[in-house]
Amino acid sequence: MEHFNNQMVVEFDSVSKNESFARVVVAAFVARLNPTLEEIADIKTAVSEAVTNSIIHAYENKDGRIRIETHIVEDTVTVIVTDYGMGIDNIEKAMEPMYTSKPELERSGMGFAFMEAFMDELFVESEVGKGTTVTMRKVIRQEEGSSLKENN
Amino acid sequence: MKTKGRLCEVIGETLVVRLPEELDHHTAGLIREDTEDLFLEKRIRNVIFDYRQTVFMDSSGIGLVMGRYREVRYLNGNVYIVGVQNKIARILEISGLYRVAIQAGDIEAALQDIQNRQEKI
Repeated sequence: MEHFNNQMVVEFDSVSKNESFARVVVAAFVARLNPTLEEIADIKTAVSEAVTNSIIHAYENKDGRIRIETHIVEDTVTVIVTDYGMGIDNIEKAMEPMYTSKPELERSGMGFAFMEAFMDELFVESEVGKGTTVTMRKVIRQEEGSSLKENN
Repeated sequence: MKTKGRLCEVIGETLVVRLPEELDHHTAGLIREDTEDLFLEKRIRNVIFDYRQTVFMDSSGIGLVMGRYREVRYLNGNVYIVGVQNKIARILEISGLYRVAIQAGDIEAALQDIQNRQEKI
């Protein structure tokens, strides 16, 4: 079992076409831990939800920057998605499953629920007018040659 | 990105949407734009979502299907889901989408079900 300490930071414009980029860049960074395809899918989905929230809610589809920090410590991946947008007034309400402040955009209100389902830990900090930080953590259960197994 | 010609098709009063490989906020928005035009131009009573090419999906895809479901309910229509790959099956199950959308084996089966329901009326 290989142990790793590694970290990266990327920052990009809050445009929806970067959602795919965000998923791929985090997945690529985490790949060295030899996660299963399901673990990669989980992380990609969680990252996609967090980044989409920043684009739609923090910046309301206007210009802004989104920052993703990813830390690997041993077998634990921590992804920190930060924006400098309008912030969340009531975090508890925002994290209620099915709640959305933007029903007109056909948002399902499941973003945080998915982040919680697919990651092991989720923390949300926010300040109105300053921005929001979403921290997510997942332990990668490394298996010997697991990525080869999945392809068989 | 012009998607209408390639990804959406109207058969009678049924809209068939071929979903892309990645279904996220970005691509869901493009699809919604195209379907909105079609809903205005034509009478659409049912929607079939073809997931055969979809290997990634987040909650934006749920919103897309729910939005179309609300629209077809006005005409007592239904939303069908076909071709779900294992990779995204979990997301659909967790979301509870199967409580409102009908899972069909393939597009032909969905069209058949639509016809059967129509004949019962």
